[in-house]
Amino acid sequence: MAKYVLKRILLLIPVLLGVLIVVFTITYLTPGDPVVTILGTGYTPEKYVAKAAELGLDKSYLEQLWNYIWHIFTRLDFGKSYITNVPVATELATRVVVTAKIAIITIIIDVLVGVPCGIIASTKQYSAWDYGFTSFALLSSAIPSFVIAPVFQVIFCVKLRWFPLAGLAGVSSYVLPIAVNALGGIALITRMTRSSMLETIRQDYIRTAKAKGMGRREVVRKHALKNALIPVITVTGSSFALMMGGALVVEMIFTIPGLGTYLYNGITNRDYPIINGSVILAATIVCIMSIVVDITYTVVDPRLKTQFVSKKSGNRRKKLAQAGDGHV
Amino acid sequence: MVMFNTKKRRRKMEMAGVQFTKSNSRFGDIAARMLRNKLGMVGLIIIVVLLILVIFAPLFTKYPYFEQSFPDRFLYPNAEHILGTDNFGRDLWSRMLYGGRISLLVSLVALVMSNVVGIIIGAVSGYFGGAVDEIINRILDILMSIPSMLMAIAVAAALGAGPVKTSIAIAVTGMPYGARLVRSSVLALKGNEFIEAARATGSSNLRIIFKHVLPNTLAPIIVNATLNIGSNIMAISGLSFVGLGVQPPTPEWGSILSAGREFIRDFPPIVIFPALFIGLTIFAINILGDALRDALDPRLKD
Amino acid sequence: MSLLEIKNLTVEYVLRKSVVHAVNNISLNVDAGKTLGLVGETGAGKTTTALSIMGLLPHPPAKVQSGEILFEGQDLLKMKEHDLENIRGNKISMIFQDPMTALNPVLTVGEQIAETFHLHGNYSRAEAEKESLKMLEMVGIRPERSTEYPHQFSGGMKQRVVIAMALACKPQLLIADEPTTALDVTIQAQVLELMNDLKVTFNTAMLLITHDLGIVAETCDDVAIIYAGQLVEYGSIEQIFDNPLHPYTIGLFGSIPSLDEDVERLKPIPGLMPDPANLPVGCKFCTRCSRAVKQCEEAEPEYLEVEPGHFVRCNRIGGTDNG
Repeated sequence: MAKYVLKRILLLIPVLLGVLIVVFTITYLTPGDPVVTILGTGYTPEKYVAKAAELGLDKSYLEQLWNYIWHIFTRLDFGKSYITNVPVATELATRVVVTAKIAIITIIIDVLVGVPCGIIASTKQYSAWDYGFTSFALLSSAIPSFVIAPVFQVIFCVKLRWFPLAGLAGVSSYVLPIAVNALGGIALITRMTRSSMLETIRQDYIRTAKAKGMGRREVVRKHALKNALIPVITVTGSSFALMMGGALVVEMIFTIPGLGTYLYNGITNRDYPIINGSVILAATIVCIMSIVVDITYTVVDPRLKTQFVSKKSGNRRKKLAQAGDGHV
Repeated sequence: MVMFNTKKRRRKMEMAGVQFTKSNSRFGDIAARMLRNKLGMVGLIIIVVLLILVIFAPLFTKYPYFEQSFPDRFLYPNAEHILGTDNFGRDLWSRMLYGGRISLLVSLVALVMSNVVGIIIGAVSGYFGGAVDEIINRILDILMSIPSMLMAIAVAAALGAGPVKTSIAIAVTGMPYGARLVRSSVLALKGNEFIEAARATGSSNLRIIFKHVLPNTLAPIIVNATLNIGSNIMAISGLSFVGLGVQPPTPEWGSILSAGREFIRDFPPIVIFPALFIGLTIFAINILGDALRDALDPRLKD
Repeated sequence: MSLLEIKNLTVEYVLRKSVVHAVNNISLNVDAGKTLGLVGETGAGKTTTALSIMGLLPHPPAKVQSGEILFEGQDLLKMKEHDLENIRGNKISMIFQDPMTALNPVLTVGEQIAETFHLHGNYSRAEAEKESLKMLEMVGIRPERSTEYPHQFSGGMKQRVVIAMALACKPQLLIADEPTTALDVTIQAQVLELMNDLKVTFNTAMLLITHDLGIVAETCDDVAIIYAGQLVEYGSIEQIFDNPLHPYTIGLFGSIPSLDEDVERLKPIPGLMPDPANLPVGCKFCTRCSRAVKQCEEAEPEYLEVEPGHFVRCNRIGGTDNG
């Protein structure tokens, strides 16, 4: 097991390297000259050359890429903001805590609300509960967070004055951002739990359990749930990824000093080190989350767990993963 | 070309008495199941109505979407302006319909681009396997580990704003998912005997991919594409919202919403209507996509 | 009084466009300690009959239209769900057709067997576990494997686990729904033998559902032949095997290869079973029957007792034309 975790962490390196290259290349190809951005108008050619040299922008693409990667891997140095001249890494470190705090609470709420809703909807299929939860899930997955957030602001901050409109001050200021963030995830997890439960309930082993004389509730609790929740783990992981993207909008609307607002500042100012750094950090978090998801899988699903004991684990797992691709 | 040949051969065989009842009845089954799904039909009707309104926007609007009228600012819905007017006195109904053109068109263009590229990459990767597959797969891994919204933002930031650039940004983001989907369906199909048979009779790889493999992976591709339209609309609006998508004065639902946000407290319609259009469209597409999936999934038969 | 008496059971599947008549007016008896074979083709209504005894019919679409299922004199169909739960797995248990899917993949086999003990009777966790080890041993699986998961077992071994689960509470009635169909031939024999032994040990009555007359010959005391949801012939094993009367039963015997006789060809029954949503008016078998006459198409044959305990549903039997 430890070996597997280690292997996954090692495999993370090439992926992150790839992410670095992709992100760096995208911004490298962007038209516009960062030096001009920094110096503004009215600079002398000497100044220009000096600034370009200072930033390493006079070097070739490969050299710049190499430096970028080298600095990140050796010194966790993501460069400095063009505008404020503050090291990106410093900003990222403080801001990621804010974003992560919101993200983790959101995920917990997603699961705590979404899974029970899905279970109720599936065990009482075609009931009012089912229709209620299903349509709630459909609706909230159709409404983007940048629509919900302002509406919530108007209702809860302006009209009802329950929560502060923006900024981070005390617990109450976390409520709305988390609520807006959680809606999409709850919808996703509710839908997934419901369909997964409905599929599981039709399995033969559920009939076997009933044939043993087990009551309906117990069958659901002891036999259906564990099987049905396996695919839900995947969705939880992907809703986390979704949230890292969504954080941008939500943080921006509620002016929360997290990764999202930082990235937004980077975009509006064409401050590429900020864009690169934020995107890379978000991707890293998503990758780590996917490892966590995979490890959770092996804990929950004995079919995977026993494969680690057997010798050809790698191959078989890979096959299983490939076969599962289509359903994710 | 390939399609044409197949059709011709099919007609010949049909004349010779060979019937394709199986595929015909399957299509019939799917259509019947689709029609039975009431929610899916609601989705379809909403989409058709929206499409008609948006395509024939000039027929349904009284005012040009760009016409400003200072005295008519911030009008609530009335007989003259059925959805009211915005902060420049522009007719919101016109802006919604014309904005929908951009939203839907960009979404569709992005969809076509991402799917064409995704299908080719996925089919090649799944069909040839081995090193090709390994390399493509690793690249897809990398692209997919960047959250799609952020990927779209990075690409859009690089390309700049505008409808075409926005659709490219969204296409780049969506491509890996389509490729993965096709790849796994191709992998699942590859072991089937009819593929072996085609190879045994000396069909070329290209021919096998286009004639035997891809047609059989159509169902998941169609479902995925349908649901993609919705997520694309959301992505476009999101990009416009952060200022990277379609720029004002070009109307687009996301940018209208974004521009109206500062007036939300005093004049909610300016935000509510674009939100409603975005939400309704995505909702309709989602339920249509779900219905399509149920209709195409033989496991759920009956 | 028999242990299990099914009286005039009719089960329908009500679908959107049609009504499938899965079981039509079936009556069966199973005596304590005896084995009844229920023989028929796929789709004849065998499993539906079994599930209606267990009260596990998928509802909707299945619906019991009429009839009684008396177990120890009590009508299972009228019983409350809670009381049924006390009977299921305890007094009546069932072995399913496909052992590959019958076990829960995320629970160990030990847990799954122990569960039955836990549900019926006052066993502590440790006791239930101990009992489950005993059961495993009884079905020929090393007790130390109880902590393994179903995917670590072969098909035959899984079926042994299922049997262990079914027999855990020493039920009075065991319903075995094609218990060996999904298994290899060599494993089939082992599993059958095991079931027979345990049946004798626990004095369990059995309703054996199968399409294999060979298995019936080895295990059953009585035989019921079911066709398109109706019983066409019913009698003791001697009556059915020595003196099969219904053309369908005769056809079934004609379509098994025999080692004793030197036959040129097997005689399969031509055609297919009628669509259960659209059954013929007269004899359900008339479309495939070599001896069918006009009367067979028009009127449904009566279910007659031709000799004590031997029932046949055929127009051509019992009258003058009897050969």
